[in-house]
Amino acid sequence: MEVVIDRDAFVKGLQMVQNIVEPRQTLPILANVLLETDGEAVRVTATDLEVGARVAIPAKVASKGAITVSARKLAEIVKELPTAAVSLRVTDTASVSLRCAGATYKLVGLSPDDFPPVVPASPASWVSLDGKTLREMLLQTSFAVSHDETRYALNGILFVLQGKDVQMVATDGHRLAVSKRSLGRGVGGMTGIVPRKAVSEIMRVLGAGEDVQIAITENQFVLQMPNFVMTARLIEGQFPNYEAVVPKAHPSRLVVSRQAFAAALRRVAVMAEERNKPVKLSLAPASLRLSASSQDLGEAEEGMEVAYSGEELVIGFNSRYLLDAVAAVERDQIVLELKDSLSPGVIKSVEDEGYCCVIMPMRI
Amino acid sequence: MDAFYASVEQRERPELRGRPVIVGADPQGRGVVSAASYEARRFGVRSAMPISRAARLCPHAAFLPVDMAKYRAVSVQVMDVLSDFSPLVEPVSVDEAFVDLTGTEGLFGSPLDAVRSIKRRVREETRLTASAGLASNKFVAKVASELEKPDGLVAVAAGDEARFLAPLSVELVWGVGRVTAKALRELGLTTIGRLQSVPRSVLARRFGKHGEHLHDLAFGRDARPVEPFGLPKSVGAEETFATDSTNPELLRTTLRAQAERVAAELRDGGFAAARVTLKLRLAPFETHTRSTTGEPTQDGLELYRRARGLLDRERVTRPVRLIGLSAGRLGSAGVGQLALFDPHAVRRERLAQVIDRLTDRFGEGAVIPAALLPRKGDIIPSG
Repeated sequence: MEVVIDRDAFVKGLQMVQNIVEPRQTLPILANVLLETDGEAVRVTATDLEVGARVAIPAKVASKGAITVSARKLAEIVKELPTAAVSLRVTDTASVSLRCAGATYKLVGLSPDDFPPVVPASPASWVSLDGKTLREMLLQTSFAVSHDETRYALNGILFVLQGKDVQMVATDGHRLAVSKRSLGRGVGGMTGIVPRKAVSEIMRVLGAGEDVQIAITENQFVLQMPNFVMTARLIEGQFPNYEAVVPKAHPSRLVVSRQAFAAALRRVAVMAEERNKPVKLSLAPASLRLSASSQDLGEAEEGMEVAYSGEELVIGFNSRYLLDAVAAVERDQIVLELKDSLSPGVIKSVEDEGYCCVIMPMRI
Repeated sequence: MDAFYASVEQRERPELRGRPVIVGADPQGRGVVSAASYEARRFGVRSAMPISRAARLCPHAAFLPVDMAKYRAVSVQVMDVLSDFSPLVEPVSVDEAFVDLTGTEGLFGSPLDAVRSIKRRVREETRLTASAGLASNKFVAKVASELEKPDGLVAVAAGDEARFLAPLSVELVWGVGRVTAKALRELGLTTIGRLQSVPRSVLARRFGKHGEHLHDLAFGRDARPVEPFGLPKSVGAEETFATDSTNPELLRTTLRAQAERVAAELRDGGFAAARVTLKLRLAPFETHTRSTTGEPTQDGLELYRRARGLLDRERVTRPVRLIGLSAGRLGSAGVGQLALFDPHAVRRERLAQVIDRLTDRFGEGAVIPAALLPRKGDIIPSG
């Protein structure tokens, strides 16, 4: 293999896949990326056996071939190189020499034959989305993904492709975030839980404008963009019946400015530092009082004028959960729907029908 | 308290006085020693050693089962005495507590006088002896209390802590277990004095944050307050099998029963536990522990599920001698975050309350999970 790649394109390409490589691996070859020629391009592939990604970087290909080398070292080297042409030459299956301007490296590698293949399934149908929509939907749900490893099925976002809708759901057992968009055309009927790592990698590589295609098969999630493909093994397990916990008709409704509410929450939450201390919301017609207290720290309280229709009510929430839910709303006005102090609260946007976050209260 | 369980037994039964007494598991069986009287300790018997070894070392000792209810009653008497001398009493275990005597001079004289009075009152009210350490902080007081057992009293003047500790073994330092002690010995640091001679930065480099802590303790510096309302650290149950077992069914039912007992104790104290630890001792005597952290719970079935998850992941390559479950990271129950997907949580809470009331009235085992009903051909785990 003998190729020449533009350094800047190389950096950009590597950045799209190198995070897949885990700092500690079960197999030595998983510390490497696979470099292989493909027509007038070099394909760079990384995998941790659960999530895999492959990017094609335009290159001048003098002779075909493949090699695997340390992802970390390759990225470190290319990052430090000047903006110039980088030439790679594989002499045998176990090493590659890299030259750029006056610098030369010899990198010890491993045989490409041992690299676990990253094979995107060929799905029955693809769903096209613009990158911005996908990114928004992930932002509206990813914060609620569980980090509790004993609840494996919650360690990802549930994708539901059904009818004309794309829906994403995430929950950690305390709160549940749902983002739904209608695409105006059929999307087939598949569901799957996409692991947290794949979600954060998608959000990292998604640019502003480009169209992406996603698909869900029996056991795989696939995402395609021009010159890029990512695969992720779906999480096996039963996602809880989320529809059952989304309240349908809460009687009390609060409408408030998103920014004013978030700012007041952050001020009051200073006094609710401990994990098991709630911020209390005391609601009365046209008024909301936020308060927090801790035996060791002290107290905080703040009042604000709001539009509230419903009975007087006091309810406690983990302030972090409220702030996360509110931050995912893009419009300026948010709605908080409530029933009583032991029933979940629902946060929505005034206009956006597609997003809601259900949060269980804390006992007060 | 000195050789607490054994001393209580000797007090109740005059014929045992002056004789070696060992409280613990059945000496024919395979449990461990819970307490040994000073007469038994002369033969090398120590608490936590296998009871069979104790029986070989001291075959003529009186072997008695653990009667926790009896010791708890005495413990309450002792703690009551301590509370008369200061509102700041922090029980560490059933027979050990810290007392903050700051500002009690007006009532009880000098701290040393107060300690003498405490020891006298404990002796009068329980006919048992206690050993005390008096110092400017918890760590030094604890070390001092252990130096002249039984019936000891060692006082360390403020400012004299480093000199007092210097000749003592590093193993007396808090947080120095088998592993750290070995590492320190390899560095030639056998006494606390030698530990004092090592710069803080060197210890920090070798042992991390723990190293800095060791440095402070070596000089007798310990800023932790006496905390009267401290929650217990953990609640647990464990059993040694009559014969080592690889029977997964036996392991699971034993764990299930332990989970129920631990849960009942958590509910009794009003606690919920976030951490569940599984302890396995494989033949001949190799102990493994595994933990998992999740939502705080006081539910027996939930504790079992988590412990069971740990057990399933463990590769039980050799027969199991002992299995145990403990619940840690305790907090108050009935506060905190409610769960979205647990509609039965409230029902299970109510069920547990009913079971607790039935157990109170009809005794332990009045209501048990169906999974624990003995079946034909079952092996019954022995305590």
